[in-house]
Amino acid sequence: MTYSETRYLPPWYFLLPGVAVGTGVLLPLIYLVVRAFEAEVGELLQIVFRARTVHLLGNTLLLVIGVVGTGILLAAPLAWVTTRTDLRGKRFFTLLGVLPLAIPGYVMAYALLGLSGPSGTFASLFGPSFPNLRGFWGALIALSFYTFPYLFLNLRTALLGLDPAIEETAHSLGSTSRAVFFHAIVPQLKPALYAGGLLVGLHVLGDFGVVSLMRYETFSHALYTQYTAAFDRTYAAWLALMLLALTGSLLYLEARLLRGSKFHRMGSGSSHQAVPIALGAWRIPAYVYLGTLTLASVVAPMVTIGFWTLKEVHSIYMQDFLQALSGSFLVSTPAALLTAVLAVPLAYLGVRYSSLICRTLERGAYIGYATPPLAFALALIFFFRGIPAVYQTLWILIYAYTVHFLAEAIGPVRSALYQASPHLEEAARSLGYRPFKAFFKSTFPLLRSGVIVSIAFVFLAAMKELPLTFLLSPAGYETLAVNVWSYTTEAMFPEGARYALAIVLCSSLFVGLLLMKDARASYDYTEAPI
Amino acid sequence: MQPLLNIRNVTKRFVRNLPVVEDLCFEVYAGEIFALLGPSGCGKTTTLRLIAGFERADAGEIYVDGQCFEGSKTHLPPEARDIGIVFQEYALFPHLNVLQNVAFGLRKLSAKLRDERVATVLDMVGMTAFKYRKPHQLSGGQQQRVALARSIAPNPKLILLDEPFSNLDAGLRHSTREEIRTLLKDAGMSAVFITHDREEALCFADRLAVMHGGRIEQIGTPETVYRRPETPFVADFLGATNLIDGEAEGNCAETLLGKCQILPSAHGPVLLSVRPEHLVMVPSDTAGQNNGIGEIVTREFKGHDLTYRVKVGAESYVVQTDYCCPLQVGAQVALQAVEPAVVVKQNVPLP
Repeated sequence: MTYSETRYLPPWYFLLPGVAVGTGVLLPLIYLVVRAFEAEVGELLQIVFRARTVHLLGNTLLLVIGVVGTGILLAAPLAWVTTRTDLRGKRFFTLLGVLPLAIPGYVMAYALLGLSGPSGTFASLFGPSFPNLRGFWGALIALSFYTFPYLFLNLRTALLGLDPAIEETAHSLGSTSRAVFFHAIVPQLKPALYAGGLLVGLHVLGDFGVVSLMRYETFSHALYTQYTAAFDRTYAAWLALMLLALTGSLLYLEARLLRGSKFHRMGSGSSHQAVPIALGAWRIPAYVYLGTLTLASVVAPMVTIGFWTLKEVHSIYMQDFLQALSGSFLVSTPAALLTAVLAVPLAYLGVRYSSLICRTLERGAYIGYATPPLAFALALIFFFRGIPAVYQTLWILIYAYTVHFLAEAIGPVRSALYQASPHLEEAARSLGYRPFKAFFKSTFPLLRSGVIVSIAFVFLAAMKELPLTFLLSPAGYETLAVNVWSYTTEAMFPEGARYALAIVLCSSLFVGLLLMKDARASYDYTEAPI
Repeated sequence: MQPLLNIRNVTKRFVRNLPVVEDLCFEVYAGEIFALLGPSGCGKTTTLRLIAGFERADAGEIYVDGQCFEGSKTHLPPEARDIGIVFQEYALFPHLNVLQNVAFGLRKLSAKLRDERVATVLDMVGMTAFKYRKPHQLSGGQQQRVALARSIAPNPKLILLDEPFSNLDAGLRHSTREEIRTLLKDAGMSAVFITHDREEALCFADRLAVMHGGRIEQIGTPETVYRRPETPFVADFLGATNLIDGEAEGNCAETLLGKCQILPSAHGPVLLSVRPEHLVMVPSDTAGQNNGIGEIVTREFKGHDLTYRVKVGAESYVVQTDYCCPLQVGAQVALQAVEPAVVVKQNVPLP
């Protein structure tokens, strides 16, 4: 039985940051809604119900469905081959399933655009050129390659967690392999598919870089053009609201689908690993598939980036590069620190206090994560327009990063917190320490590594973040991500290459950290002291 | 003598109108080891947490040395109570070594005094050799000693122990129990500990309270509580027993087993507790008249003793005998109580 002071309100130093975050997320969004409804009814109807809205909705949905579908097609065979067969090099190919995360969508778009076309890498290296990939197909490929690892990771975990006894039972009851697959395995993979699909969907809805570079008209793209070209505030607000509504629907849909498809292993009988399936001659198509995937998702973009990096670039661009690097660094560092500082109390509220208000506050962070960055950026612009001390300063950017990445920072702190017994603090209190000091002396030291991981996570995520940076940074402020994007729009591939390379480096570190944390989590699980 | 700890009518509810502990009253005297014994969910952990100050009482008062720690308007926070606690899973600070753990509560002392005190306490629990180890490098028993040392170090008025031996394996439990008891006694510490293990409570405590459903059913020395249970629950929880209906008349009662002596004297319908070792089986032909004749239905040979089950009419009774009882299943026997039966309930409505 675990006891904790659940009945009491948490002390102010935990509650206050929680309330601050909740307000920080919700207030701009509420303001956005208020602004959107300021227009007259007739005008509103005209804004919302126009052919363009339907066009945007159709395009956006098409892209979401396309990317999720392509992602499943890419990830499912990879996950299956790396978990359930006797294929050699499974570890390498598992890594392959995660590596594309190191190439953000807009860098992938840069690579695709730099690869195709008459003056592209492909034409320069091999002669024949293929047409520029733009529009739907370009966006689909860039986003699918970037996001399929989310599906892969979820499917892989699910496949590893399957109890082979269920399949064996199905076989023993006379089912054919095909029947077993569709009736015993696929239903159990559904939760993983939904979870992965949700993440991919959120990415597609939140994406700005790819659709703007590929010139594919979605809500995000329309928002961006509204913002840069014809700044019609009411229409922009409504576009943001529609994007939010779409995100909300996606979250709702996932929750609905997930309900009733939760499967648990009954009983605690120790499960064994499934016997790997011998691929035999099927090895060859499997290798061809894996090879093609490696080539397309990692090798081709990296070769393109490398190719353009080696092109002669005027040295004046090096100066720019260093400036952009320090620009990214200057804003990512405080954001990472602030986020970690807030992540501790929020994780604490969520883990230690079961009351509704505390869980709601922790959820606030997840709203910030799920809100499409472009919509959130717009809400912030509306909200802070009248406050010159903040508007068009780095503060607003740090604020946006913090709210957006907080959920990622809470994760590591929360898992560290789960390992620390609440009794530690109680022991400290019985030894004469006041509540805050008791926390600081007994529990906090155990969170230290979690906090460091959080800082690193947010730092690297902020380094590669594009839409928030693009909309919220002060005029003329240069960062790595913004420069990749700007050079790509101008088709200045050699100039953009080093920025793309720097982003890939940051993202690789991010992925490395992710894998390390995963590895350590499973280590902790088996080797946890007491 | 003024009690060290005085619990007066303490009630705690978590969900409205559903008390976890209700109207608790007991005292603990200086130098005493007091046990709260009960099955899981009986409210003993909540009681301990109320004493420590981790929970607030909804009603009642808690006094320590005559000072009110908990009352309708007072709630002294845990850090101001001067009460040590040893948790079931020890809750040692994993980032600190043994020395630092024990010194944790001594920050108000000067460095010199602190070092001295830590050395004394570590020596007391026999952990001096391990002072630079981290908790995860210690065995369960060693961790427990460190936890005990840590709570004793600031010289608290009272120590609370939460299921102190349940995390130790059976072999270690026995010896640790003796050691810790000696240690507490030598240090003159007063302690309250909770347990669901009756043997632990009986051999570790000077006095104990048996809790059931959030209430205390009986308080007394181990001998009294075992020999003279006041309720059917206490009789049953402290050891195997036979609960027998009877019709009391003074210090005698008429039962299915015949006439037997009872304690205390009573009148009318009663429920009696007779321990299995207080029943003897007499071959039916030598039994006196009136003694219920029964048949042995099971016989369990356990080496140094034997447990029988004897069916008399519709009821069956457990009888404990020594290792050499020759009676076999199917034998007709009469049961006799060799000690007075204990009245655990009076005015039992007739079935």
